[in-house]
Amino acid sequence: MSDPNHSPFTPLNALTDEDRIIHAPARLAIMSCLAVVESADFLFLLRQTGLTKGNLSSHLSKLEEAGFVEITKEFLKKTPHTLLSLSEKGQKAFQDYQARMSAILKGSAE
Amino acid sequence: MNEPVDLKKLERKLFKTNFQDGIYELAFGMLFLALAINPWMSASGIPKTPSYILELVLVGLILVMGKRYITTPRLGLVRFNTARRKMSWQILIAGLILNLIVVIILHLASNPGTEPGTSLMSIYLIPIGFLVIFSILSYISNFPSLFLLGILFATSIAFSEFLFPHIGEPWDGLVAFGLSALIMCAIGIRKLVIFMQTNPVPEGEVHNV
Repeated sequence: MSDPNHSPFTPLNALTDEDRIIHAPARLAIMSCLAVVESADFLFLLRQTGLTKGNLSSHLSKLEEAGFVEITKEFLKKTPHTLLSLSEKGQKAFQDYQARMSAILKGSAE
Repeated sequence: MNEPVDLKKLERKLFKTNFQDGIYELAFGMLFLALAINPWMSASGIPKTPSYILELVLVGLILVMGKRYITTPRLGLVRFNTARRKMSWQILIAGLILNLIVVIILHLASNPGTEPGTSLMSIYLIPIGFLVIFSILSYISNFPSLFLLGILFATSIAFSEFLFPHIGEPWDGLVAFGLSALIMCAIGIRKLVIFMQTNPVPEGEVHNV
């Protein structure tokens, strides 16, 4: 019987609920894209993440519910336009996630 | 690298998407075309400097219209961070200064007594200077086509000076800069076609979340 305290996956327990929201591949892609730009529209994210419209929309809604993403709707020449950006909470959560995952990956590499 | 996402690499990759549409190459090609046909316009009585400035405005229009009506509907809108935007402005200003230098050279060349001729400065120093500047700009902006632009610009000036004693004006400029225009436009059109094929305008509404 293996000791759960010495399992190689024990460091994953350090992941918080917020980390788990970000950790899904699609949401990680969205958060990463938004972390390196000031803001982007729905189409830009659609192209960069390679997700379908429905998928992107549902993941964005989850991130918005968590307070990580700010969605601004505006009109550009009478056309509705959605701009997305990381909120302050989202930026902090993403930085923390990066730090925790780095520590886990570093630990697993040793 | 132990970080799950390399953000610097990702930012560079996203910024590079700005250049995949071939619009810049087409604009550079038009710039070469302007330099190629400029001596012809001058020969027909239109002064060199104002016509070059007008051609520059047209090149700017190609860039703005291309980005607005071709790129943005296919790729979406993105606002990069302040550091990147600052760098883009610096590159734009550097480009404008370079064009100002070209305008001054053209103005000097159109004055009597300073006709272009085979000289050490025009064959080696000016092309090398432009090549160095464009190489630096290419490295800073992460846009390899600027390096190609520098090479073509440098070879065009040197080639034009080499051709001048053999075929004279305006043929020297037409051949030298015309060839560069052809190469740059061909690259631009190829990139534009690939971009439009791989990024069709999305059907239906894409703005809703």
